[in-house]
Amino acid sequence: MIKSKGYFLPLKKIISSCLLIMATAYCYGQSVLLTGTVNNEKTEALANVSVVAKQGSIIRVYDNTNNAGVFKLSLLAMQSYTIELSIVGYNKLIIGFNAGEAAEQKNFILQQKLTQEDTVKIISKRGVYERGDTIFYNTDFYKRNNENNLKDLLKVMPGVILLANGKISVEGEMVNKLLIDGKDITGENYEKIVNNLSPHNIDQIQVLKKYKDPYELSNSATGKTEVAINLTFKNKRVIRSAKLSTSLGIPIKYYEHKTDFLVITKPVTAINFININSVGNTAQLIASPNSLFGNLNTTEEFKKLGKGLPYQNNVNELFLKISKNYYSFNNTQYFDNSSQFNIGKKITDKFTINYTPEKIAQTETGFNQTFIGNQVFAETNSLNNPIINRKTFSVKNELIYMLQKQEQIKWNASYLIEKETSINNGLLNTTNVLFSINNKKEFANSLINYTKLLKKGTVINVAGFYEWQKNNELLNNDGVVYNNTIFSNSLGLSKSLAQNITTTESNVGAYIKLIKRKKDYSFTFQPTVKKVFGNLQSNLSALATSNIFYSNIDSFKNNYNYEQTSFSVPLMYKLDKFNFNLNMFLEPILFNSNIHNISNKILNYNALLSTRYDFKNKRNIYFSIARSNDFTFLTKLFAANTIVSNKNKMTATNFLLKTQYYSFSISSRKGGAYSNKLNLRYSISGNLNTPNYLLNNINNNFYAVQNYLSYLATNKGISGGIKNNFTLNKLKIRFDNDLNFSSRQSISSQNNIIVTSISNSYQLESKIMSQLDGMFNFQLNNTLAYSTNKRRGFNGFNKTLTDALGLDINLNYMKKSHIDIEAKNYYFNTYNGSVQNIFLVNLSYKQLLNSNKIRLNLELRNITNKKAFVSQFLSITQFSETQVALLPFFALLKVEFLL
Amino acid sequence: MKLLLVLLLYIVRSSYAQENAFVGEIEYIKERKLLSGEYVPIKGMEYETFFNSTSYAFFQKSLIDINAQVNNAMKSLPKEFASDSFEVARQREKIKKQLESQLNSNINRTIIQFSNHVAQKPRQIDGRNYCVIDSLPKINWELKADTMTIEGLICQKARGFFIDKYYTVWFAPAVPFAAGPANMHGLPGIIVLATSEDEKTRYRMKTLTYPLAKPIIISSCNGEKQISNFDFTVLQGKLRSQRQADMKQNLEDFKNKNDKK
Repeated sequence: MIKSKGYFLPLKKIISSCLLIMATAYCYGQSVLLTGTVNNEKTEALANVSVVAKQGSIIRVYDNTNNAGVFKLSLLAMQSYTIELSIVGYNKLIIGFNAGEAAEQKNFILQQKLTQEDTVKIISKRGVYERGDTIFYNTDFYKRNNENNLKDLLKVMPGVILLANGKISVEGEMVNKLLIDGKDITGENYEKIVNNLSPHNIDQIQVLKKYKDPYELSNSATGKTEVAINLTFKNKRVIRSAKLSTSLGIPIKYYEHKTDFLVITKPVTAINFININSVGNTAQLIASPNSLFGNLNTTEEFKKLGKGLPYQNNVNELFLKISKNYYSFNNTQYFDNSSQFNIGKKITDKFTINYTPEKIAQTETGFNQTFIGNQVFAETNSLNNPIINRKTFSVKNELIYMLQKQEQIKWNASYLIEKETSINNGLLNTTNVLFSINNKKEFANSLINYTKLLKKGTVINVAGFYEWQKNNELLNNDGVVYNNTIFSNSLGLSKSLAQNITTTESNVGAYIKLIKRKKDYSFTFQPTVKKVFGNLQSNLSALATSNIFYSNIDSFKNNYNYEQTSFSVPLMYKLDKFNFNLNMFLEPILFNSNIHNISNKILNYNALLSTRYDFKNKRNIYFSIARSNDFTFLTKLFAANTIVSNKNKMTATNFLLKTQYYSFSISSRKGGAYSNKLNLRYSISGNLNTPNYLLNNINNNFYAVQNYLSYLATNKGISGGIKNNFTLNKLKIRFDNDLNFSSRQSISSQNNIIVTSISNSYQLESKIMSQLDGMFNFQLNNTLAYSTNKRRGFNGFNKTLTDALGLDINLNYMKKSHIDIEAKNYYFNTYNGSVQNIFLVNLSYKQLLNSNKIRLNLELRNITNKKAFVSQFLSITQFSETQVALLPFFALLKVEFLL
Repeated sequence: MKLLLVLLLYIVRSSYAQENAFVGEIEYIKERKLLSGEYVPIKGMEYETFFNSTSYAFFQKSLIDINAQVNNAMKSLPKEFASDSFEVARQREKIKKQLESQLNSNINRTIIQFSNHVAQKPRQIDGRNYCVIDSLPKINWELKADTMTIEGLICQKARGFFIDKYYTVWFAPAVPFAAGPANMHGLPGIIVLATSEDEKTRYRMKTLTYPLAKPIIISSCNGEKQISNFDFTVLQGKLRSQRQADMKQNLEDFKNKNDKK
């Protein structure tokens, strides 16, 4: 037994120890059920209460209560948990719980919450995303709170490169504009904003890859887009900017003052640019008794409104004078103010006023020449809808009186008042009062013209005879033609007042394009007014032709697909039922351009047919047919020879043929008077060019050539030119070579004397530009020009020959200090007899002070200014030499600061 | 009698119409992975989700973006309108009103009830309203001990099988509602990020507003005819084949007419 006991004892031990081990193991792996109910204070069961069992912050098990408020959690035995119960409207309950070995039941009571929780709003932000043609950068993602200016922030953004000149490049494309909340404040000179704007208020930086400036009509017409950056701000927007420029001329009075001030705050945004300029040259006497030639130096200051710095254009004109004493007076002043107001969020208005009075007086013994120009330009603009709400007001006064005693041909007097108002619906309401007698323009005649749009289609038109045409044609390298034509023809027929009958007919036409994005609107208006007094008849008819163009321009870089269709709606208004008026205007335009096919076809066909018959009187028969046929055939083959690869070879030829204007009219009247009018006008132009964009390929050396040739038949003119560009990228040198020539012959009749004139000019311009290390630039310009001018009038043959030879040297050094040196030497020779030699040296120095806050510019112009005049008269054998230094010194101090 | 009838109608209506007050709002966005490893949003796959403790309702955002819908509708207008700005404005207003009225009736919403895993989808076919009832499989979430802070919320990891693949999700216990993107539900906190295990797509929380200053009321099925998802699909197919048959008939009629001529 003992043995057996002894035998069994160890077995018991083994079994019991095994059982113990199993029991502990079982205890560890065992789940224990925790059940219970959740009630509120009124002992009502709460459903959908979230019950979670946590260990630390980790949720291990969870359940929701059912409709009876019951939950079940399967917990591990012998573990400690935190039980959390939560439901909307009740306070969260947290209790500790140690799970034992047996199932447990626990009931909970939740207390109703008395206070409302604060709303939490989480908005997930991403650094960059792209939508359509816009890239959005969320600045918060990139901010490290150690940025001083926008530049620092842009540096860290992917795809954005800051160039040495302060410009920005995004994904390899240059940024042309920087907008603040959609407003273009600085134009292309946005470096000021980049260098100074604090980035902390900026919410988003948007890169608009296809931005179109709504104010630039030409851009919209050609479909050209720019790359722009738009900044959007958080609650507060504060930008204050100021600029002060002072100029001084010595020893002759020269004063210039400029102020730029910029404030952007919210909710009221006021952007104000004020520029005051006073440029005065005191009257000067060229004292030499033998001086036959004077120099009129016209300084024109242009300020592009709201577009930053002004640019200066100096025009030198030579005037032939017979007098011994000659006074010249030149005074230019302007005031322009451009203000933008943003009140609240919705109303944004821009108001611009520009006042430019010009006074130029010249006095000679026995002769008076006076020119007074006065221009006021005002514009209000709602930026919310800039095209529709554009209001423009413009006034121009001009008075020219010219008398030349000896030649007795020129007797010019002109008086011009222009008023231009653009009203809300985008139509142009023009009122012109113009008086002109033998203006400088060849076929201009006297005219009194008063046009006013009273109501819909009602026009008052008083006219003598006036013919004026202005044609702007822009043919860019991509083959897109932009035309802007304003023409006016008025015919006045009047009988004497004794018969008490006055008949006036006038036609005014305007071809105006108003361009919205992707849409062109065109409007042609041809009113006709006829009034007969005496028979107490009043005939009034008005023809308004409206053309609505719809064009769709898809541009992908420099490839354009351009479609344009048009139709016209003749409108007629007549008082007299016996007047029959038929007008037809057809203008189908086919414009098809596809650069991929390397051939462009342009076909324009215009026809005008007009008949008029007076049934009552049966004496006025008017028949007119006009046909204008533009046929343009354009082929393009590209020439780009890439020296590096020699793989891409293309040849470019553009040929442009245009024929224009066949018009014929005949009118018959009862009295048997006939009048015929025949106009024939055509022009041919050829073009051989390479598009400029090929020049932008900076990675390769390239050679590009542009040739153009045009022939104008009306005045028998021909002009042409060759342009060569050659760039060696490795050496950073670019050669430009321009050769232009033009020849023009005209025949005109003045006072029954036929005047013929032939003028030829040739010009060769070469430029060498070099950029070394991005901070040292060198430019050499060389101009050689030669022109002849022959004119035969009643008093014989007159011949003028002019030579010009010039040399420009520009040196730039650019780092923190910026130094520009410019030297110019020009030599003019006129064969009938003056020689003029001009030598100028200008220096400018710019320094950045105090971490981008203050910058100092100092400009010294005309440090060395030498003008030499050599005058000679071959017929009288007189020789004279006069040296006069004009405006020898010019200093400009410019301080820019930002607050 | 009339009063009784009105009362009866009210009771019937209230028994059918369940109006739910939702206390929070989440905007989800579905993204796909580029080869570069970056995720970009899939167009139109944005979900506006409203939740409370019993259920949540979601809309596909492209359907509730009225302006986008109006712009789409305007494209199909005749071109003659384009020149007349007044007509364009009038048409735009008209379409907008139509769409707004549709939206107010909460068409195309999906309401998911956590407790019984049921999705209710009020839908419209051929002018008739249906209430499509779809049962959802319960997702067996496997809770993980990993935590991560996403958009300022402390999130815990979980893994679960949904439709056809496994998803790794991060949920925020601080917002204890079982809501998630699309039909993904059932965790003790809102889902902040859900990435498929093949890493091709993911759902990301774009915005979260909780609690809403004013609860949003969205009614579930409003007395429409209840229909199962399967039946609804069959019905759709029937209608489609009916239309095709009609078109064929019309075409044949047209041909016959021409032949006779």
